[in-house]
Amino acid sequence: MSALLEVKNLKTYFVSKKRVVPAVDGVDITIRKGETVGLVGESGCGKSMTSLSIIGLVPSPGGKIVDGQILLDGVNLVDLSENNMCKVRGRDIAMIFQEPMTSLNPVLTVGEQIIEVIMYHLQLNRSDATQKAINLLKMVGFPRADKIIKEYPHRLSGGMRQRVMIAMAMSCNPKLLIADEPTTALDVTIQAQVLELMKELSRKFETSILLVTHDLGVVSELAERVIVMYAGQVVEEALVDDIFDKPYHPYTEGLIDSVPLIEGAITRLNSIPGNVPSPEEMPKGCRFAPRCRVAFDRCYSEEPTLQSISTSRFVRCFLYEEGEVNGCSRL
Amino acid sequence: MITYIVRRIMMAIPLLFGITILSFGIIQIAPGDPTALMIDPMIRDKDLVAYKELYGLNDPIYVQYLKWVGNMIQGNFGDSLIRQGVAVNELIMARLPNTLLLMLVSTILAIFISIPIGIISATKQNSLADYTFTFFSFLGIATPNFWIGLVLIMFLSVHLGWFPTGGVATLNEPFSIWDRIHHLILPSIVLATADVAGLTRYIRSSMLDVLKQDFIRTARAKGFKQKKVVYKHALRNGLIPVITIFGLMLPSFIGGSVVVEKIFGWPGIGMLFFDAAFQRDYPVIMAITVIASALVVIGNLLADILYAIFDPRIEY
Ligand SMILES: Nc1ncnc2c1ncn2[C@@H]1O[C@H](COP(=O)(O)OP(=O)(O)OP(=O)(O)O)[C@@H](O)[C@H]1O
Ligand SMILES: [Mg+2]
Repeated sequence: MSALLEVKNLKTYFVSKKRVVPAVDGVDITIRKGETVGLVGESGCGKSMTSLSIIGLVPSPGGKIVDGQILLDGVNLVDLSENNMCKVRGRDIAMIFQEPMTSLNPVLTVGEQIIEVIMYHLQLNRSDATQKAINLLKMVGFPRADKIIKEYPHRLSGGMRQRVMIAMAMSCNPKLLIADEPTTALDVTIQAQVLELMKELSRKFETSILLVTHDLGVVSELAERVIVMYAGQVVEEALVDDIFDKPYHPYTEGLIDSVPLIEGAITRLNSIPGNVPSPEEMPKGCRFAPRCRVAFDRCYSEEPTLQSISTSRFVRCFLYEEGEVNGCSRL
Repeated sequence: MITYIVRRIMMAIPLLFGITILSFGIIQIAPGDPTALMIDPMIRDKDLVAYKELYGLNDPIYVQYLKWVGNMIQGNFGDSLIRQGVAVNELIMARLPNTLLLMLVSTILAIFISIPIGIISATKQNSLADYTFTFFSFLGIATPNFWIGLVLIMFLSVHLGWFPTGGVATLNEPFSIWDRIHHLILPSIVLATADVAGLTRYIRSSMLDVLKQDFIRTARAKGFKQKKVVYKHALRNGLIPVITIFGLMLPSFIGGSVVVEKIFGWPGIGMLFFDAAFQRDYPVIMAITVIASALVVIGNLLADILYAIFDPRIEY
């Protein structure tokens, strides 16, 4: 399988007169056709900025892609004009967001919001687009889709709205679907249904998914590969099974440990001490060092690079220099 | 929808009654009475009493009020005290169309000027255009209507001769639509200025608010160009709060028309009110107060209905 999306050394900075905030600082992501990749990390580590960079919606003024390439089928999106980028957005790359309650326009009907995107990108007339919208809504689980298209968003529940968002995103059969915390705002049972739906659709249409979340449970449910971000950088990349089996980076280990585990009657919850450093005051050396349980001298003076451990595994930590796998036992 | 409108109208009726009581009360408290102005100062006391008797001014206040309201419900506002024998209805009907025309034109003007300016200011926030509009908005808010009116008359009418100095039409000329429009331009611009300035600010901040919302990001993620995002997705949401503001602005609009009509010699009810107030022509003052209040109530009713049409989240 060839790569659908290749993000190379992406740097997205917020530049103001007073300071420069490197929200995304040299990120590489590769997604193959039909593949689902999870992008995880704590709040503020740059997941949303990475995904907004890919779809070309970095908040402006202020935010800007200052370096790197985003290749979609070999075309560098960073170099595209705004006009050409408009043809990519919603058609080749679609995006769904965390807040289903506020992500739909309150004064337009659900149907209109799906129909307009179909008419815009696929040049269908209104009645064909309406028919397609009804089919899409049926596909995401609205049996009475012909009724739903006439409803306004405020009449639907959060889960229903997120299904509408998914129908909308899938309407032009995108090559890549970016889902930024698609289930975070939903309750657990609805969450499972929405994830199931996304899994089914990506299989059916061979859509690649970039799944942004801080919930490792969601990742293990849906993704084949995981990319772990910390402070604007990728710190580990691995197949899902491998990473849960044996996380390499101390940060990944901390993340996995902080997922609530139910052991008998006792719920164990470990959290990583401290906070993500704010991008404008990055620590010298390894960015995770001040919070790391196994940091040593070198970690405070030198910045580690992303090391390749195997073809599918990368880690940014001095414990794994030269491909040697030692240390970081799960004490 | 129909029941919603009917319910709103029912709610407006007690409000109108309250207004009649208030305006009647305020006029009673105001010093001076019409007999002081209309009657020969040398009049004998006996005749003065007879005069007052004739116009019902000796009755207890509540009787005067009930008589007045009773007549008014039947559409009769009584006779003018100053222009003897002329019905108030007649005076008002002769002038109301002029006022409504002036108000309609300046409302349309205000809307069509302030919406684009508000949108440009919001979408190009902190640009030179935004700062320029902001500067003139505050200038417009801070400058009294009558001053703008007088300055425009001085320069555009007196010095340059581009516009007539006042009136609705050139005297002794056959009716011509162009002549009417020519006369309308300055007064409607002046009446619109204060509202354009305020509305622009409201539309700007409301649009800025909306443009930050998640659904705007969704619209962008669908690949729509800026124009479509702004006009299809942001504008309608941005105008919803402005509708209410517009309803609230109506009273100042009516107040403004009194000043503007006086300055431009525009024979509308504003001017009639102005003159009546100085002559203490009670029936005229009262009639206009009630009509103006009714206009405000109707305006707010329209705003509410528009609101319900614009915003599907309003349940009625
Ligand atoms: N408009 C902005 N101006 C300046 N800095 C910003 C702006 N938006 C985001 N940032 C910075 O970018 C960094 C990354 O933010 P981002 O939203 O990508 O985090 P995230 O990983 O998606 O977090 P979350 O899980 O909370 O969504 C943040 O630390 C923040 O400081
Ligand atoms: Mg985020």
